[in-house]
Amino acid sequence: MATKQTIAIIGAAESIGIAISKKLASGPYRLLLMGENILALRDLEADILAKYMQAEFELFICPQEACWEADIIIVTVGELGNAGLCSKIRPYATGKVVISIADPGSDALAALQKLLPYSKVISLLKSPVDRDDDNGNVIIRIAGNDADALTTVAHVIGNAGFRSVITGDLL
Amino acid sequence: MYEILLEKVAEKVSLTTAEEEITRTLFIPKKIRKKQYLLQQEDICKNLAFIEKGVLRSYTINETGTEQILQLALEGHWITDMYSFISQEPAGYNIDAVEDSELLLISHQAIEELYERIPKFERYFRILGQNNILALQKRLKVR
Repeated sequence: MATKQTIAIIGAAESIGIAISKKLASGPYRLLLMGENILALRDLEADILAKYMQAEFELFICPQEACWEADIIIVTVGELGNAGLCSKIRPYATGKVVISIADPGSDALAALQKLLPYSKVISLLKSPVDRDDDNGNVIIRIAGNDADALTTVAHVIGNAGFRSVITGDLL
Repeated sequence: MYEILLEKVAEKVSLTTAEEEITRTLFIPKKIRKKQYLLQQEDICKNLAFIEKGVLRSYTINETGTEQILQLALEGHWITDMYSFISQEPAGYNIDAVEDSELLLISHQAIEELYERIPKFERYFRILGQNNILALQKRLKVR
């Protein structure tokens, strides 16, 4: 699709968020990098511009505003932070794909879908990460209930330079 | 976020509180900046957009690079590439924001669900569809 998609990364200035932001900065997206620490965000901004001068992104302190403008939302804050964050972003995430980074086998994903009942929650399983022996490419496992959302997320992962494998439903 | 939408719908059909709640869950709230594209030519139009706040326009670009505007949509109006939205074939129009705007988007799938769960919306969109055809017919008469 020609129209540039907007991806909000909530918790962009934390370790996983930083890695994701840098990977996606090279892709065909407009990124909204949201974090509570403006200094850490500014560091991230500098790092990204140093590597990708053409990157299109903006810094956000407010998760609601970031989610409102986004087409796709990536949530990187840990489980503990989730319930409070979810109630904040829920109205702005209706109908949108929400990608959450999770530990495999955890209940957090089903819980997240309950907290965001009208969003299409897709989980990205963070470990173990499989390596494709032939090419050494990293394979990321994704799980979710909505077929369109899974396709969208597979695209995003592809644009970030990884391969994805759908492991099944969330619930 | 849904005030104008519910107001406009209420002008034509009367929704119960429960139906209003269902309606809210089927629309995607989306903020868009001035000059940002909602849809580009050749994309498949995934959504019908309702404007809560702001102004959008739909247009084509002809061979000489001139923009020809089909529709300028204000608050309380709907905008989409209807042919692409219904047929799910590539769009002939571009749609972008004339100023920062707040939209409520409904997908092809969600609108069918809306009709299914709240049949009153068949009436609402039928009336809009009628008005649209009348307007287009009027335009075709102009020399």
